[in-house]
Amino acid sequence: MDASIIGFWIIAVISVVTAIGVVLHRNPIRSALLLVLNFVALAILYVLMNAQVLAALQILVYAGAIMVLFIFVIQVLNLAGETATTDPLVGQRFVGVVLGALLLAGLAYGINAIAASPATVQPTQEAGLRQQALADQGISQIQVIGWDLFTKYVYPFELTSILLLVGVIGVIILTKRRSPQAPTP
Amino acid sequence: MQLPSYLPLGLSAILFTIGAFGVLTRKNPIIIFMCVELMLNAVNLTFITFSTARGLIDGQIFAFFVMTVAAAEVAVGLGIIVSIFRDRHNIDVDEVSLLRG
Repeated sequence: MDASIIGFWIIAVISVVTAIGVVLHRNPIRSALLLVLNFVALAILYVLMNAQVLAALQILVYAGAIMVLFIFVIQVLNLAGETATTDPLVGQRFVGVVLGALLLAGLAYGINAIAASPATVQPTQEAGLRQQALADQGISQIQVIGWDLFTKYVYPFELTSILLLVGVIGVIILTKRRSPQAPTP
Repeated sequence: MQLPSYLPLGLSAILFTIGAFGVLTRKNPIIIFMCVELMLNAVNLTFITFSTARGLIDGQIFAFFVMTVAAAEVAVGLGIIVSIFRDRHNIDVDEVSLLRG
């Protein structure tokens, strides 16, 4: 068996186990830490699939920034597990299992179609030539991503800056106290 | 030898389903958000798998945009949770049924 396939199976087991832990753990802080482990495992998988730039971004943005935000909010709100002992929605878990199984079946059907005809996911001839040319000139992956980001995808890229600005302003407005006279909780 | 593309696609499908199950069944909004992140990551894995398999960089760039959107979404979502908590001291999603406080 090939080394990358062995690596894939190790990462697959780690990420599935940690994902189930995230969903089933009562304590949110443990869920958050398991989610960090899940993100790191996926970053390793990205390296295996030759997407090193995205692996670095995954660690920086997800495991770094986003999870710090999660843990910060959990600690600020001092959340300790779910308080409700009764389930107000009867059969929620059962319906969740059924819908999850249906979703997984649909996805498996689609992936099976891909696995049955691997020609659909082979590199196109044009893409192969481009990769070869880039490799010959010694152009790295991050250079290609940066080039495409500022030429082909420059408008989406600029739109993300507006999105982040809207996010920043939205959070400030949402968490600001309504009036200074309001009693502090 | 390269990883056959159906393996990471299958992993992505399983992770997405686990995340969707969590969103459907959990009551703590923070954990629901974590499950949404799980689903976004599963989609990113799909993008990167196809990007590698097809030899195109575009999938990786789209995954980059997904990460940006996820960052903005988490910031706004956690802001909403904090402001709900400030009003009610209880953030179970089954009990928060009013948008207006």
